[in-house]
Amino acid sequence: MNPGLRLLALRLARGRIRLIGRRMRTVRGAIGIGGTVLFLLAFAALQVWRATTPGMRGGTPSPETLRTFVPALVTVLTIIAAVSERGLYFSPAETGFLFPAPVGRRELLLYNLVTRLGIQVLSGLWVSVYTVLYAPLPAAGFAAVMLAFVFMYVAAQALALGAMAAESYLSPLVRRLVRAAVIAGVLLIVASAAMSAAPGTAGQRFRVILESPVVRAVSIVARPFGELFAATTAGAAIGWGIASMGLIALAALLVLSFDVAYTERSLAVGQRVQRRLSRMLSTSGDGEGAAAGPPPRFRLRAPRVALPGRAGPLAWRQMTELLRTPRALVSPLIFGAVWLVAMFGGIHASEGDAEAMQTSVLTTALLMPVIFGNPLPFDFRRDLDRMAFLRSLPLRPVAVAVGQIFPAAVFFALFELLVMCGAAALTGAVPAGWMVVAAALVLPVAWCTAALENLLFLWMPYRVGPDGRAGAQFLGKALLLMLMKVVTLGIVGFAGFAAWYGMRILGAPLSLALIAAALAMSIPCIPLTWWVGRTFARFDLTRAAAAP
Amino acid sequence: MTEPAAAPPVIEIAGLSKHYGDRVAVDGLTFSVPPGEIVGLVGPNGAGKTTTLRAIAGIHPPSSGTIRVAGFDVVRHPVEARRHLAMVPDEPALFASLTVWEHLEFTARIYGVRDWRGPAAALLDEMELGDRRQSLADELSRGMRQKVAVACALLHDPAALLFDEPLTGLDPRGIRTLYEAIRRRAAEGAAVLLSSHLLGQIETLCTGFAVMRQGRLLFAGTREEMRDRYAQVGGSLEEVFFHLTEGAAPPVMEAGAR
Repeated sequence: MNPGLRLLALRLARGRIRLIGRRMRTVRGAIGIGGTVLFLLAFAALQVWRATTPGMRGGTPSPETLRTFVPALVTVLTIIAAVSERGLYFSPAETGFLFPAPVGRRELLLYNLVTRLGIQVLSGLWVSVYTVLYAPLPAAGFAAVMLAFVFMYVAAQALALGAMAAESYLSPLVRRLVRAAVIAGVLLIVASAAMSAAPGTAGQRFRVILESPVVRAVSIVARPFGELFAATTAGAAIGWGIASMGLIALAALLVLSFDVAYTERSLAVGQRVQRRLSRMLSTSGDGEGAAAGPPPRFRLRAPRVALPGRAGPLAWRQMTELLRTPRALVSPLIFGAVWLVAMFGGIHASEGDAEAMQTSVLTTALLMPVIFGNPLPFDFRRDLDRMAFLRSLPLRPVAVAVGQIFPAAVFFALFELLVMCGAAALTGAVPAGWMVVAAALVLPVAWCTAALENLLFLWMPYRVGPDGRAGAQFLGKALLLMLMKVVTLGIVGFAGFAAWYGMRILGAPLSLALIAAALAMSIPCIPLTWWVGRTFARFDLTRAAAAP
Repeated sequence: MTEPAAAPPVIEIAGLSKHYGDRVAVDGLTFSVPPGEIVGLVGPNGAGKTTTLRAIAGIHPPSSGTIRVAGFDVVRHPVEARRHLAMVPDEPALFASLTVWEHLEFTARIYGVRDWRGPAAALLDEMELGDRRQSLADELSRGMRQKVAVACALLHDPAALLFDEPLTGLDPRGIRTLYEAIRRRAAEGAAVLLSSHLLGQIETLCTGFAVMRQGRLLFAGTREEMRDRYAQVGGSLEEVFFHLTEGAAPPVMEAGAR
């Protein structure tokens, strides 16, 4: 690697440690970082205790299941990573300093790969704490997870660069056709996998889907990671470990060998990432908007909504932005498709699989927001650099909160309903009663989810970048958010259930009980929204300055 | 932009076009900047100034045309061309976790500058940042970050200097400091190309101007040529700018302009 780039990578690593040290000097930083570290250590200790205590470890999945599941998961995550960015990410500082510098294309690519490995290793460490219990040989499982995380990043870059290289040879029309063919192919794979699923428990159905020939064929490249995870002897682990490393090396060679002028695309990716992460109000240059792609032929426009406290225009702005950002829908749609197949694949209404159906519908309505989080954060999270503007508006803080939460909650509720409709189509029919129940539940649940996510964001508006900055804080924040969601949605769910049960005891018809449950679940949304508004009113604007 | 026979241009642009799909950002741009010249690249928003600067820096590959820096084609010999240029972007993005001194250290290493400590210290003094060398980028104001970016750009004594909106965020003293730094480098033989919307500010700094609109070059020439040619509209940069850039469609480059 170029000596300057090597020095920069080392200095950046040292600088991050220095920054963490400085942040630890503040009370907030000490609590945030210290708490996260303590939590991770405690969790890791618990896992070690479970692994070493007889009777606590539980049963491990069969090696055959692991051989199927791990490659499929690695493949899906790699494709999502490649599709979501479609180019290498460089931070604005790297763009400014390194792109005009006398550094070779391959040297810069190598620097990108090396400097991003840190966050992959951290992610791998965290995931391995969860997963190592399921491996027949814990050391092999740990190695498999770590190597898989490195592979996912490198392979995603290889895919993205390969697509860029292919695009440079294709006319716009052919490119569109290829894109349509790829989307159709993915849909075909999902559909055929769903069709091949048989009735049974969710776990059984999921396994059948993963073992389908289509999924096996697609994920064959990632097979060494599955074999390494499932290895039962040291010899097999070493062999598949070497194969896994060879696969990573091959992907890295592919990245370095693609002769692509990636800087232009990286600029666009960097801007997109920066917009998404920090919503910088940067004055982009003349070509930047164009570099991100040609302007759309038509622009969608959200309907105006009337909300209390004149918050309607705020909600309208966020909804219109969302409608004009189709890329934001890619990840949710992929996740929705995976969720659909995992939860509903193999359920056939005609075969009277009612219990599995009810479980899946309720899981989708209540647990999806906890597991997934709001996939469409068109709320305060997009407006960190507009906080001063929002504060200057002649609106009460709670009205601003309503205007900001409304679009995220409504779109997430619609997203869940879309998944339900997909379920109805996939299974033959979801009973109408359960659809009504789900429809009544999703809005308050989605509102609570969005409100909680915004509340935490306003408390801790850390900027998180793929370069790993604020990675520790991000992890702590994610854990805290999960805890808050579980507790709050537990309370909301209990309120709904109590109202439902109470009405039934009083002899009320089902419809009335359902309305009461939905109302009861909506009541906690009011103080939660007020809390978000209060937190917004107290938000320290000096922390909203754009990150350098 | 005179071109003395003894001094070949440092920056040469010939027929540069840049397309994004159907959209034309730069259309058939041709001009050059000889050593010692300070050329102001001006135009309304969306004129193609940043795209042009980035194309010269090798960031945006041209759709057609050629760009040479210090005699090196930026597409065929990008590393050699970049060795002779420096670009200061409009937004001074620094590495948040590095100190000012560390920015200069890795810049020196990347450009292969030996014995960089003395010149780096002198540059920091020149930019009035001598007492901030151990400050993290996070701890600097926008103007200070801009000055750090300029100091890094000047460290390897580039033959071509590109500035994209360099005056944004600088206080009057900072602007004067930057002017002096640019003039000094030009006097030492560097070719400077800078874009700005602050016409009154750069009129006294620049020795030549290139006026763009909708990706096309409307005028390129020295300050004196501009004043002579547009004496009827007043001859100042601001008056020439409005004369050339107002109207429904951009006119072709006027006769005599290069």
